[in-house]
Amino acid sequence: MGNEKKQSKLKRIVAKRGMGQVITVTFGLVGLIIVFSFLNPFFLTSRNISNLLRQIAPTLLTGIGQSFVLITGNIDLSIGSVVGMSCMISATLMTKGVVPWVAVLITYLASLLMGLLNGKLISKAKLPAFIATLGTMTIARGIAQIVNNNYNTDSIGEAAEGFQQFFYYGKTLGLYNTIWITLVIWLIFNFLLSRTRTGRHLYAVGSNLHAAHLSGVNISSTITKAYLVSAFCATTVGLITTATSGMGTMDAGNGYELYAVAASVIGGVSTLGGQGILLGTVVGASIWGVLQNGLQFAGAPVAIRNIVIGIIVIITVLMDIFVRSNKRIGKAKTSADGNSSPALKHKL
Amino acid sequence: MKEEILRVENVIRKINGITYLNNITFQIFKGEIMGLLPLDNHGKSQLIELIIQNVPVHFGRVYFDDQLVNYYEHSSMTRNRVYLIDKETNLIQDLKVADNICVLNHTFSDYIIHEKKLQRVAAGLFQQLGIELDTDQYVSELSLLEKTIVELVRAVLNGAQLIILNELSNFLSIEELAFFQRLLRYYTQKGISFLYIANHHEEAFQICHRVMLFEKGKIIKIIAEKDFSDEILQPYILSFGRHQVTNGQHNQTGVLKCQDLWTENLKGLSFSAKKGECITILDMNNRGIQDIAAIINGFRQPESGRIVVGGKEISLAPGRNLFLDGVAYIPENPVQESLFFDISYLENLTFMLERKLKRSIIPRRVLWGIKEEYRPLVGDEIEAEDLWGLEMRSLYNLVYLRLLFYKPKVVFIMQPFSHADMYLRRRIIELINMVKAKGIAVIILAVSISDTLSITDRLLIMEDGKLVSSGQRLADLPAYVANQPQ
Repeated sequence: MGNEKKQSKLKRIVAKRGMGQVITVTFGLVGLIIVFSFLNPFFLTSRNISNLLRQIAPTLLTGIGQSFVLITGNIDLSIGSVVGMSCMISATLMTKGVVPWVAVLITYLASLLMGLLNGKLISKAKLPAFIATLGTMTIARGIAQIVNNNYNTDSIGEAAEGFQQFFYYGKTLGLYNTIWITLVIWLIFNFLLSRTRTGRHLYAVGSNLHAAHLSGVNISSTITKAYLVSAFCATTVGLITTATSGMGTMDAGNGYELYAVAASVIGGVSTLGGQGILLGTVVGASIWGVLQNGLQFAGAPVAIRNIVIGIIVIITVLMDIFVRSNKRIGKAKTSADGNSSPALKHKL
Repeated sequence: MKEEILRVENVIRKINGITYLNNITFQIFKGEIMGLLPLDNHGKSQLIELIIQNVPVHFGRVYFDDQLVNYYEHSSMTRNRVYLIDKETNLIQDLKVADNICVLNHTFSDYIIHEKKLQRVAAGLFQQLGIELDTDQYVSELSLLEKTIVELVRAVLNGAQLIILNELSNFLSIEELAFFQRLLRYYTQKGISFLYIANHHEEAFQICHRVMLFEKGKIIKIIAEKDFSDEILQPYILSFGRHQVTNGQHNQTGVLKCQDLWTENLKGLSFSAKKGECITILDMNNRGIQDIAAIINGFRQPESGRIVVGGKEISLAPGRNLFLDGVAYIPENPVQESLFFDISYLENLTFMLERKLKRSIIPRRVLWGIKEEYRPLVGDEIEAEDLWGLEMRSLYNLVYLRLLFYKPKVVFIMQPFSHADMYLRRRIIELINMVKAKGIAVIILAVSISDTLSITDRLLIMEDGKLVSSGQRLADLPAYVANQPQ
């Protein structure tokens, strides 16, 4: 009986939409780890694993934000610039003597405003997400530059040591705090996405906007929530960046939006909206991190690393399109305009 | 005395100077299935919109559940407790059945989702109907019948008191429709009302308590159940008559041979068609014809079997467009799916001309010649710079004239009469007859007979992917088919 229950629970987990791709890419991840551990025995040491996890954290955090946005059928190109903006705002405030935790709060508020702006431009002003976030990407980068008169900041100083320990250097239970922060944020947002009404509304908006509207879903609020999550995650990465370098750099976060898209898509979040789970984003970000780390250990030049990673992203997106189009044909065959399920068939 | 759920009184609705609803008056009682038989489509969507939402009206009043909700001096734009079910589902395909029913519901107040609880509630609703449906399934995995049932259950749970059913027979097979109609009767006993929109009076007479005839934005007659008969409709409807099979057609050589086609939903489909012959494949379960369409369009490769066109076996490799092999396909919504609205009528007509002439640049004199050749058939619309603003009849002309222009050997047509009003149906029959007269074999893929018997030379009935019977005369057909609307 208990065994049956376990089996049915396992079946339910596997049957969950998007889990198929997560399982596939997990095999890929395991394969990569095995290959890199053969290429370099240092790869699987506890020290490297700990560093690897810390390296993965920013990609995973931005990936979580981007996954929320992609699930609603939109995209957030401003993530990288928001990382840079929050890095500069927090560092500038701290160098001006503001208490680090107040600086953190102000940084979060400023970045969430950017998320709010994104959400409203897309849901209320009906701007295409690509254009709206392209605009805010430039605005946020401009703010990052202007906030300290076009200069990187000086060191945030000893007063911010606690801040640096909390976000980057400190350890809890043997793991870096960055990893713990990422884990907590992932757990919260995974719960929000999979277990709450808001999560269902996010999927509904990405799957069929019109039907979601007719079902009473507040489209504007739902899309805005996704962008707020994205801005929150980007800000956290910005703060980690500040804590890491101990200063604010204007070009922090450059290109992060694309890493975030890659992590999400590799993990099975569809760029067409309505599909994906955050477990996939973990695997996607891990693949990204393992490739970076492993190729570095293998002595591959940066250019080769970029080419390999780019090819993997394209292959993954192609797989997504292939699987989706096959499903569509399957649907046409079996359902849509098709077939009765065995459950109903005997009633007809 | 019967209670009313909807009363529409003397409503006139004009948009941009065009009168779509012209002094409409009718009421629907609680627990009643009111039929709507549109003789043309003018004003139909505006009527549906008026019932769902309190949109501005030029004159008249609308009462919903005894409340005045809309009148000529004030239209609040609020929505009434009305739910529309048609082929375009309002369900979220990427969510599960239980989510669609319970979470995407105005009455759902929990913030944290307990999946088991949702599934229990949803399963309970289906059990009341005697239906076993896995509520843990994603909606995209359901059949159209299942989706339609889920929509019905969801509508009722959402508090809808009036449900509009738009042309169900366009997407439910004969068996499925009969099953669904049993559910409608169940819900009428619970006080739910329905507006049942059908293109054929036979279908409406089977289920409705009253039927309204609707033409040019007016209700021209309301018929009570006791008066339901073909005779009462004689003055209003066009009779297309039944096509007589001519022996000559059967002396023609076979131009299409489908041999032993196997897919998941086709079980060894074999048939052949002669030049100018029209065959209807009536799919009783709504399964196999989608696979046929997928094969023709290169979306699916059969597991085995072959198609021979004009004596030559054609490749069925995925992604291959059979148009180049002389096989054309007209989708169910040909106007939306096969025409280019932003380019001219002539460009639409000659879209693949360079392939036909095997040259990349088409001389202007050739185009001029084509224009003058088709002007008598099309009229001045051949000069149209784009397709916006053209009437539906003209657009359908274009769809079928393209066939005459390219002269494929065979054309597969998916549900040709779907969404067409009575007058358009008559035109489609004329157009298909023109196609046949050009010697093109016509294969109609259908889930309901609709008007296909007016043009069909042979009717093949498919059940569970197999051809179970065929006939040229109605008497040859099984009773459950013969009793369907024609």
